[in-house]
Amino acid sequence: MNTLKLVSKNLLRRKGRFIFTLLGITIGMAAFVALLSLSGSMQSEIRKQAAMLGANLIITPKNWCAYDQISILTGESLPESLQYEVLEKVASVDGVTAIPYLTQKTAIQNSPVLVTGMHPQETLEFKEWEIAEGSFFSAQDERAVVLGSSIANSFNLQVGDTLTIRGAQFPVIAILQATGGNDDIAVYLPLAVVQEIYEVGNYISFIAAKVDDLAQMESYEAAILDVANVAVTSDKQLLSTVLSMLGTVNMTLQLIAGVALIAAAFGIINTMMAAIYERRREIGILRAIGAKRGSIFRIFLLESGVYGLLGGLLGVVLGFVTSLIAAPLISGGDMSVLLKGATPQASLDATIVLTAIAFSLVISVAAGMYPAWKAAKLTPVEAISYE
Amino acid sequence: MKKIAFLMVVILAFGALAGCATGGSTKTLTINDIQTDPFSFTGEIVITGVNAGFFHDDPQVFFVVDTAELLACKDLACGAFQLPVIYEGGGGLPELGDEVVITGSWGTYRVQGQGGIEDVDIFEITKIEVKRNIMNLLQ
Amino acid sequence: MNRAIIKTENLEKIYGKSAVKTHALKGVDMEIPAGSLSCIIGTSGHGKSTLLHMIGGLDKPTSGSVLIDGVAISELTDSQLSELRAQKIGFVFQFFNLLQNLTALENIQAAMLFGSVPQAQQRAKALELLELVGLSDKADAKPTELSGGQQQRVSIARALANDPEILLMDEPTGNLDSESEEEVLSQIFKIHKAGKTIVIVTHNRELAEKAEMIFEIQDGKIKT
Repeated sequence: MNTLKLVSKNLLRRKGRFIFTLLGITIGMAAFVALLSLSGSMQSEIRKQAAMLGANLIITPKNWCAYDQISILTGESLPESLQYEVLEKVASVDGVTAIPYLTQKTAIQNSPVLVTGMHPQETLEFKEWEIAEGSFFSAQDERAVVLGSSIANSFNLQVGDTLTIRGAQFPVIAILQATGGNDDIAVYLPLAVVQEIYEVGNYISFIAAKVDDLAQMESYEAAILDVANVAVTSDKQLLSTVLSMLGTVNMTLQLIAGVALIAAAFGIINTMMAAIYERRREIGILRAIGAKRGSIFRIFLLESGVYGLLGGLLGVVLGFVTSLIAAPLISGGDMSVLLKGATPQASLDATIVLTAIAFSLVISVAAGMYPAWKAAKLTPVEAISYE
Repeated sequence: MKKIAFLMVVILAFGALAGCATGGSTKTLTINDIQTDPFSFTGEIVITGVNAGFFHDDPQVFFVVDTAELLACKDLACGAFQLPVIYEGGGGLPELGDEVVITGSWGTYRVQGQGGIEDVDIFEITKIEVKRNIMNLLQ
Repeated sequence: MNRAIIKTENLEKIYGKSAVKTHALKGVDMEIPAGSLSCIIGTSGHGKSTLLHMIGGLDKPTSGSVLIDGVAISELTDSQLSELRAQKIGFVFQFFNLLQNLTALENIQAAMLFGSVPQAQQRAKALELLELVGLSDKADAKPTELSGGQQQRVSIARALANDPEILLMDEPTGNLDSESEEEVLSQIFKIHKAGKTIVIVTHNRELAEKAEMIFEIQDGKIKT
């Protein structure tokens, strides 16, 4: 017999009550974990996209709103409102390497996919792509498509298959290696071909630029603004804009989870207080057979701790399952802007798991302090005399 | 301890089932998804968007714009692309500013244009569902 | 004779506040020699049990003192008092007061937990004690599966868990039928023979007659 055994026997004595109190904390923790997992994955997804961009600067038309800028990171198609000449002007700035993007959409098996028009060789080098199968474009205006790895996987496409875009047929000549970013979900064609089949004239959606010297970022921005009537954003600015939008949404959700947790904590306090009332005699007996106040305090505190530990563990599992279910369901309103390209996967990493369990433990132990203290305060005879 | 194990199994099973259930739903497309290559989408498709206005010559014809884009620019008139749709199912036409989910397929519509009568492409709705009205969100 | 292992000096206990006060003990002096079997008898009321609780350190007197083996227990901290209870005093109550969710064996082990018997030895010692009270076959039974007499015997075994010098019993046979009463009484005598000091609050005439010392409480004082 040791303290732990005593505690576990005490807890399991009233199975119904044990389960309900445990459920309270499990649900609170589950909400907490689900939100952490979803928001964590959205954040990392967006950061990843920003990194994948490979660009330090994004050049866009002046009149674009935040929605359009964010779409660059989420892999949406964008209005073609930059004239091609702008590319040449930007490229003329020393130390700047610029590539154009024209983004459109089409359907493969009735699912919308991103179609990107670009300069083949330049983009291949700029993004440091690797070819998984087939061979890349051999001419600047070859009428063929190269697929991102996810496209090939999702639709079971191989080199040699044909895609129909805007009524025209194109052979698949290559599939890119997976990059883990938005490049995987696009269908690539030479810029001129996309301009032709989508009838947009000599326009592009935006320009991605790399600079030679990161320290001189501001001077590059100024130089570009000098030669072209555009808006220039750095990838960091873009990232922080999106993250701050994500942040406000997060806050609300975390508040809700916080409330759930507090409710659970009160559930524990309530259960423990009721238990102490019922177990007065037991406490008296324990004291009579020699338990010190400290032992009583420890016993009750441990009981709360067990609720916290178990509730935390179960909450993590339940929360993870919930986020798996919730991820594809989140849609509509402002959120959809952020989530279109970055489909939230439920991601669970060690940090979240450990944080959640630790948090659960802390809350439970804190909740159990007052009841444990009250229990320890009872004098033996008070407790025993209670009929 | 047995009860806890049982509880865990229930939770996990529920989770797995729910996961499967949600996985199989038909994809709802947004206006943004279809606007650049609409006819690459074939057969019956489901689209979501907002009713931005009716065709003056025919009250059964209205124009649908992208929801997210509309919410971002906050003006019914700013949607660059307006999808013409027609609903001949009797009652249940949406109001201005209603966010709708429409099921249907591509068809043609006879219209009196400048050069005479022409057949234009239109989305023929077979089923319509109004989700909410977003006019108050455009302030 | 033997030293006075238990001594009380002018023990007083008043219950209640302001208007409704009960003067349970009004100055009790007693001396109990080590190794003796004493009984506290008297009319029903709080007095007898109260006195026993004072002696066992379960309750604090309003005034006066209790000395266990020369140590004034009112000067001990709660922690020290608890240790004293664990090591020197064993308690047996009228209503058995076993922990309901533990088996007979575990009940005894629980007492050992606070008396710091090393865990490795707990089981063996507990079984020994159960055998002593003739219940080794009921080691894994819960209190609900035992008769009144059996529960009380387990209670006695528990009281002996840390090999205390003193055993305090509050109406140990009060709740038992005559057959069980016999069982328990024979246990008590056995333990007394082994050299323990036993103080019993009781109504039982037979037991009182067998005691070496009798203290009769009347109106909160010892009747001389």
